[in-house]
Amino acid sequence: MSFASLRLSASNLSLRHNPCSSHRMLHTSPALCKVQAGKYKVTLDQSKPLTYEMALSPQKIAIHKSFNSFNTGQLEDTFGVDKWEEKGGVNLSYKMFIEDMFIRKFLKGTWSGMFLSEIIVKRQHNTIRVAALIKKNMMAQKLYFLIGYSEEMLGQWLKCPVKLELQIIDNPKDVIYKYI
Amino acid sequence: MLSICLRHSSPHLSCTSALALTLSTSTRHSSSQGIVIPPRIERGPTDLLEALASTVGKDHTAPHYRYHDDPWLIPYKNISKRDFTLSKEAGKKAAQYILNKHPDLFDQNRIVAEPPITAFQPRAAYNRDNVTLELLDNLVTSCQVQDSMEVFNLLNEKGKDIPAEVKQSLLELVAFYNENEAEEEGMESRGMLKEQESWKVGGFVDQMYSEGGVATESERVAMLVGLGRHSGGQRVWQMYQECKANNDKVPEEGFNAAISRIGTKEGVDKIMGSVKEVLSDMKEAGVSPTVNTLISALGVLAFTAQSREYEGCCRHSLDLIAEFRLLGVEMSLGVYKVLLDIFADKKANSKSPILSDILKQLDGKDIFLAQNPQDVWFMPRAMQVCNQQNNAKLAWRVDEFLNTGHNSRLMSDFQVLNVYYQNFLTVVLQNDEFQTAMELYNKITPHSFSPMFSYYQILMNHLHANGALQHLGKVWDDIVISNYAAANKENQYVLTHQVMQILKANDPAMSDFTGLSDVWVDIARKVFNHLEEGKSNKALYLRFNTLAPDICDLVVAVALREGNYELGAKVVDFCREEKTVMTKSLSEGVLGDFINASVALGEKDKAVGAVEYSVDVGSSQAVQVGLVVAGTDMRADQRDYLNKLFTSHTGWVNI
Repeated sequence: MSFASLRLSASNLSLRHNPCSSHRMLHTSPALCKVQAGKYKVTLDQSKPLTYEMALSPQKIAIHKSFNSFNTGQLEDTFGVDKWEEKGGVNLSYKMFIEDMFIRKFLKGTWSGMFLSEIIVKRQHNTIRVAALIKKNMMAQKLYFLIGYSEEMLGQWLKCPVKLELQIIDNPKDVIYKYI
Repeated sequence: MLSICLRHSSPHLSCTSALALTLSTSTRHSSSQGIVIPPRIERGPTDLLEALASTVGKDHTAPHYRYHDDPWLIPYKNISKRDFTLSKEAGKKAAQYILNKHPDLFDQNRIVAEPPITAFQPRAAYNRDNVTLELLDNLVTSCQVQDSMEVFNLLNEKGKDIPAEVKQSLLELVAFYNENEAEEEGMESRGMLKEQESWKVGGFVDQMYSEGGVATESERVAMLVGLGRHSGGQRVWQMYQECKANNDKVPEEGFNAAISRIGTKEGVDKIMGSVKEVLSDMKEAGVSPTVNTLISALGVLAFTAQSREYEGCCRHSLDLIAEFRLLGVEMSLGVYKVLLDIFADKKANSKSPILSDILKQLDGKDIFLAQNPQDVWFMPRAMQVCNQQNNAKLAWRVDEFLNTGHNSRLMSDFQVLNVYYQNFLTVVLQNDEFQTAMELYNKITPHSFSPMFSYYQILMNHLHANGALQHLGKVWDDIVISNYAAANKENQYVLTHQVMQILKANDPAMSDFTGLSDVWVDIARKVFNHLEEGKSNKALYLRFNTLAPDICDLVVAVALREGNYELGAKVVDFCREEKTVMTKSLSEGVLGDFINASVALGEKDKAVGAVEYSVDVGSSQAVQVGLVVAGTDMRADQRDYLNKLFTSHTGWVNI
């Protein structure tokens, strides 16, 4: 009896996976339109480490975790193309967004494999303050060299003073919040 | 925005003060005076910030702002402090190099500097096509030395005719800077690298000077001033004579340079004669002398003061100062510094009271605006004099002067700070109360200054002499963290030996403080680990380390006294392994104590091992200790082993 059922299921399978079959479906079901950003897939043996920030989904921003960029580009009643046209001047929030992306890319490349957390960018008056947690895998002199280099290069690009505020973590396992 | 706040605040403030006035007056008189608003005080844009800043002093518990604020990146040794600052600057220079090489990468990114600042823009590459006379003019007026030299050379190649005024200003610029770029304002690594640059002989300036045929007056003057500024040696005097011969109008700096180069090999009177000659030339030329002239003249005297003619130099210097005071020249700190050089000889240890007189003059004055490079060196030199004269009270007065007003801004250089604090700490430790010295030490170390090895030796002696054992733990930690105060390997062992001697001499059980026993054991363990790790260090192999056996001895003694058998056993095992290499063996008393302790704790293997060691090193009490061990309950193989060890010894009875 089992043989017969197997054969039946096999034929069903072949029908469904046949590209020319009439059983094609449109992928609009709610299960597939879900938000996948900032969420990590669970592993079978619970071996994927997540930091606190990774562990919380983006919906939890401003509730359980903070933003990664701080600036005054979206103050109340100022955001939006028409509002900026009224005020005149450049629309800064888009500019700042791209600048932040650039800062993150540049730093991740220069300090490759050393970041243990996301890079926080804060803009205060004329300066940009960049903060992050890094691993300790270099001599202090090399770290200082990279700090001077990064600050100067970013300052040249962004045309304003850039201050790096890095914190060195001895044991990379300290930032792990949970395993999934 | 800040200015708006200010404007709002001042009338507000004056309202409240006026109200207070009326309130106080109303209590005395019942007449209504009405509100009197006092006149408004004009405030500058940063006055409020300056007032706030004056309430904040130096934070001695924090590292300097140069260093990144992270525990791993805070330096505790002098080498690290230098290294970190220079590495950061090297990073900045690397970034600027990339900017200059590839300026196109920084250009069109829709981020515009508003307003554009030329100092931050990439250096333009000059070639034959884009150089003009105007460009040269601009570069010279904005003091860009290397660029202007390059453009000048290119223009010459092109065959362009450069007007005389431009050439003259270029000559002046390059002579002033001696072909280097102007030093950046507020550079962090000032005083960290020893750069004594002298005049570039045969360089750009010399070429420009000689190729123009007969030199004009302004060219000669420019050369004179440039040579004087950058230690041009005998040429300064020659240049001066040339200028005099041609009746040139030499400026004050030229005369100062000439004075500073007067030959010091002749006697004082001859020197004074030459100085007076130059000064009378100055008078004829109608140039009024300034404090820099005085400092140059005194500087020449300082050179001769170190020879036999001390009295003459002192007299003449005071005469000079009196004369300049008549002229109305205000004394700057550099004058006092050179006076100290003259009066307080470094080698002869003269007990000159000049410093207290100087401090009386300077009491409470705020003279932080330096007029001469020697001004910056007044305070370290004063502290050096205090140290030589062993006068702690004077040292505190100098420190008080440093902290008045803005005078601390003069201590801007790394080297200046080091000299100052080194002398300050030493003089206070050796001549003042121990408690004060420890407070000062705790304040200054390690962020303002990292003491040297010699200071720690003296400090530990004082700790021992004053019985102030509670500080030993912290002092030892400071020594370790500063890498044994930057001492070489031999001196490191001198320090560890000294600390072990202090530990041995001071029994924690007999002091008033609790918890010292653990500290003692900890220090002993760290000292031994340092010795063990360094045994195969190329700088000092164990076989050449004459202090190692003594150190091991003391470690075992302290460990046993504090009841830590394991540490003692570890050291004895180490000595057994290295017995062929170490210069001496453990002392008999210590070995005996160890064997007794082993027997008492039932560690028979270790006891037998120690007996074997004493036999191997030919100790005279080997038989005695053997008998002690034999008296305990031993296994058969241990007994046989002991018998075998002592076969050739008389006095041994087989057990």
